[in-house]
Amino acid sequence: MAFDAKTSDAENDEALLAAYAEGDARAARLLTVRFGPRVFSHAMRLLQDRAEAEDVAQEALLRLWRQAPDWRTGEAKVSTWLYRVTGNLCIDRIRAGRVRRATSLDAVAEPEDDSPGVEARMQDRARARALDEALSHLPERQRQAVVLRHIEGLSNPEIATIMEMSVEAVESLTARGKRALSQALAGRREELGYDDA
Amino acid sequence: MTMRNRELSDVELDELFTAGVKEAPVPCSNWMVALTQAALHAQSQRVACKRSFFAELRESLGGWPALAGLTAAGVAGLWIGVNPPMAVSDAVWGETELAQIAPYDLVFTLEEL
Repeated sequence: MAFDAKTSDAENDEALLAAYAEGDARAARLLTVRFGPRVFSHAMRLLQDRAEAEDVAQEALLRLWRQAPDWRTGEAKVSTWLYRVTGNLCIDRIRAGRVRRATSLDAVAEPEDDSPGVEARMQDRARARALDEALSHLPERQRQAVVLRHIEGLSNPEIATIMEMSVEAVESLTARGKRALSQALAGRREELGYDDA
Repeated sequence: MTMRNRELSDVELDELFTAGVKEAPVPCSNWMVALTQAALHAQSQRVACKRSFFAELRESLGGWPALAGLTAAGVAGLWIGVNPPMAVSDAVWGETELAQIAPYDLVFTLEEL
């Protein structure tokens, strides 16, 4: 089922949600394909734990299905609502101590890959993993703000809505988060491909 | 701080974020199947609830034909109540007179017969 980001505008999302509430099975499938991977990926960034991320994503979508009949069109974007619910569920789990920190790079087996561009791919993978590990050491709200801004690509006002804070507070959180990441990764320049010493 | 431990620049950090986007965690296909089933299940439950309120009321009354008959009877009854025809008026008035006769009067009347 092809479904690219270009078709994923807020109006479409709301129309699909209304169709879902009316019992349209196609809308149920499309919304799941559209939001399932995105919500899972976001939860995974915040939790660094696949089983917990799957649980959170499932719960967030279940809440969306329950909300569908009472959804007020034009008030909030479906994606914004989902990011907020997912973020809150993740923070609850982190605070409850249900999530462990990311595994160190050394403990993760590198999958074999012989395809062209393998070196660049391996470097991307190593950088992504190092980033995830460094993110997992940030305070949860800082982590959430950095992920929403620099990985999900949302604007500061959107993040402010999701995190229920001012735009200035979001800017401050992301700036502090980025600084902490730069410091945390300073000792790993070489393995990240920045061997300019 | 040595060059080796120099903090990452904004450009370098952006490259890391780009790598993070490219290497986004992907859910496994079994989980996606289960998620779709959960969506359809939640939807069918809701549709069943929504249906039970109207549809079961209609069905308990005997379906659409019975509901149409009941509506027609109701409208006719209302009309007769608001604007009764002469024959109906007489019948009602007559019944009222009969009801006003006390039971012992009726007994004496019957004994005289």
